[in-house]
Amino acid sequence: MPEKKEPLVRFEKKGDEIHVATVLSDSVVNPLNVSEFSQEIAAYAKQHPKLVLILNFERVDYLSSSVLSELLQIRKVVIESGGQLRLCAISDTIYEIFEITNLNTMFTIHRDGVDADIKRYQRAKAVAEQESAWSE
Amino acid sequence: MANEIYSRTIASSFEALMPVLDDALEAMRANGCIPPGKESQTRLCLEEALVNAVRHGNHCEGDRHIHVEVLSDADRCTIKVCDEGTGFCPDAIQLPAPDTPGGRGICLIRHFMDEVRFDRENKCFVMAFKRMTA
Repeated sequence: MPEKKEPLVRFEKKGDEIHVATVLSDSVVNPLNVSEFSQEIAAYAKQHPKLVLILNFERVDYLSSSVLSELLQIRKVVIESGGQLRLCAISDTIYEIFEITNLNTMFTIHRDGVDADIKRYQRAKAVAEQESAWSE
Repeated sequence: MANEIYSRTIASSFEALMPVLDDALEAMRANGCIPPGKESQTRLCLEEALVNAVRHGNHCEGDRHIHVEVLSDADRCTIKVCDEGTGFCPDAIQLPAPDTPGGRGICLIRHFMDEVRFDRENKCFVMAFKRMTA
């Protein structure tokens, strides 16, 4: 019997537009499954156009350059579908990897967890809507 | 004189490199080769070097081989990853533009390791941590 593969990411919908993808294990750094990780998320993003996708790294210790390349692919798919990609629960070690590679300029990255990031996004959206109303 | 604390020759595949990654790190840990607080970075560097050997050195050809060696002496801990490719100059590799996929592994290794070079004679990528002195 073929071995049943465990999903690498758990998806949860939080309200109308926010979706949280929690990376389930640090084994995602494994060169064997990094493409699969990217494909799972890209497929989900294509099924949910204009989503705000928060990628939760709370269980991840470090990222290899292969994962960084896959994250760039995911970002491209999400943006092309009219959505936004945010990375949260990023440890100091992982943030350093983004800084060294200058990829901190390509992603919206926050060190705190999902709930804080959802609040931050909602607050920013509310402010943007108020500003838009004032300018009309 | 450096002590060889780990040595293994494996088939050039991603499947084969996973146990080597774990075993080499365990040997390094047991011999005090990993600087304090640098466990993740050491694993990252070793993984990047092994993946480069499979992908770029041996062009994912499964009948080729990779040799991994870890040496320890009073001053440093040295990791050698040898493949059957033509070699490259690590210093010549520049960080790619942010929106370009690939090409960041060597830059990460250069950042975290104290010494990075390619030994052309033995076709080995060599990286080393200097030991902390009191």
